Amino acid sequence: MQEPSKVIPMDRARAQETALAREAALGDQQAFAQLVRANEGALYRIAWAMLGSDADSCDAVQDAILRAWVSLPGLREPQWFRTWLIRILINECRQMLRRRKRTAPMPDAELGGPSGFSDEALDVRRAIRLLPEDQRMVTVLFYFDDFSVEMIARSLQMAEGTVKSRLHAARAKLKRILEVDEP
Amino acid sequence: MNTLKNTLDRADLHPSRTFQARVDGALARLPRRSGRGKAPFFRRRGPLIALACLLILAVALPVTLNRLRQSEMDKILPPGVYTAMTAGDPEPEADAEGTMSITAETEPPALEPDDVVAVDDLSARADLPQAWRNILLLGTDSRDMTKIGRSDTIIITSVNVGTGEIKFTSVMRDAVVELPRHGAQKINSATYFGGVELMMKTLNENLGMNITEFAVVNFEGLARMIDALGGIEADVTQAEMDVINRHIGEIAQFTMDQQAYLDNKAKLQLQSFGKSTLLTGIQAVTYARIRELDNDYARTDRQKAVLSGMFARVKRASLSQLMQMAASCWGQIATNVSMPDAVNLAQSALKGDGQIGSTKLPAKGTYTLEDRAGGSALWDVDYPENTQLLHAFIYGSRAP
Repeated sequence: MQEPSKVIPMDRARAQETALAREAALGDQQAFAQLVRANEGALYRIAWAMLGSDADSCDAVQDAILRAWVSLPGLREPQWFRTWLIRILINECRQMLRRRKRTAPMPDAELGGPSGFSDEALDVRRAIRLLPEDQRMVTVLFYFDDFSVEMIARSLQMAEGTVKSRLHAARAKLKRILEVDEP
Repeated sequence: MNTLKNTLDRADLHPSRTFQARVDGALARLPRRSGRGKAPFFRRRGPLIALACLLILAVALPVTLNRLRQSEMDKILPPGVYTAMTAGDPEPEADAEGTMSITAETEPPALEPDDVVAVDDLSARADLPQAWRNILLLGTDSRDMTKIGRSDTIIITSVNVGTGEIKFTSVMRDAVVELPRHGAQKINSATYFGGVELMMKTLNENLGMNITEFAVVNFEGLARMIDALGGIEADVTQAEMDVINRHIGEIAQFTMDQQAYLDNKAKLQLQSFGKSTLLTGIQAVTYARIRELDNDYARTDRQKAVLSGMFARVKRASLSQLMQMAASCWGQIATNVSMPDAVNLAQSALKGDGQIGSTKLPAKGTYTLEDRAGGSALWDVDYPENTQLLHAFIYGSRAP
């Protein structure tokens, strides 16, 4: 079977994001806010994939936003703002996981958000949680945020081939758990 | 269709309200950052190279006929007004003790409010071909970039945004112009009376230009750029080496204090000469400013040697060197060219083959060099004729 791959051309949205990133790097808070809000979904899902809990995700994202703002003048490639922001968030999440390990081991991460998820939603979430962390991250970026393999590779700092094999493994596992019989 | 994607979508993995509120909160509490983001701009290599080259050229190409001593300048300008701004002419001044032979830095007297010329219209011509962008480059020896005083070097830089061609027009600082409220003055005093804006306006009005952008760099910036590049190579004669070593203190004052200079004098000096001699930043700047040995043409050659040396280095420089270069000279550069504009401009400039045309104004035979009011200057400049020549030089056709 062919590995999924998407090509996101340097389209207008991307060009706009790049322009905003440049402005933000120059100190434009509104441009930065616009960029962060545009990527809110991806930030949330990555934090959730790594931390599993809504409360921790909130903390991590909050720290990541501040850190991104502070280190924005060092942004080398504004066209890759999105993947850069996600890398910062990933680092925040890793720190949080380390701290968590040092203090008390958390019980199994809550799967839902604060409240009100259907059983089905919880089932799917649980299935995603069953994946190893790297497969989980690849999955959310690919399926929920429409990241190209290249962008995932940049975000997670792994080779594109690795992204593809992780995706492949994740798909197989998810299909088995969720009993999807997609060709 | 029961695809994996559809199934996964049911996980409803969307930012919760709480999450969104936290994001908003974080965004609302961002600390203030200075409006100037140095790194992202300078880390883009292409623009950096081009901007650096433009600035380098601004200082290193001061083609001027001015051979006036400072004492003569004092006569034509209001007494006391002239300051160390024209320290551009290395004259033998080193004393026996080897202390720094630099003119004491004197602040120019503050202008009376009535003497300041406010500029609200740059008088830029609107009908010039848009393919060429004309930018004013000023070189100064002022340490404080907010006070340019009289500019040492005035160059109109024309960049063809289509082809990347670059042309430099040096305007001689002794050319006399009419300034509002101050009458006949040397053109380099325009920055003193009305800032960079008055300089742009004066050039626009006298030469039919459309200049609205400028960049200013001082000697410290240039010397630091060269140092960050690891120095440059140039062919140096023994006589030139001697002059460099005699005057190096004048440039050293821009990068270190007097004690540091005295302590390191031997190290700062050039120890050898010959083909492809490696010059440090202050050595190279001193070298580019030598004119006591021969004439302006030879000096122009030396400036071009420094330039090509820098170009050669910039082309080979590593990214970290370029970043260091950018960081080290940033404080010595002032410009109103916005970042995105600079990026565009630089990208255009990089398209070119690196060939640079240069000329100087006023052209021979279009002015009289004479002493008047006790000082020498270029009087009765035929500005309409020079406008024609300038337009022919930049646009390839005479001004309409």
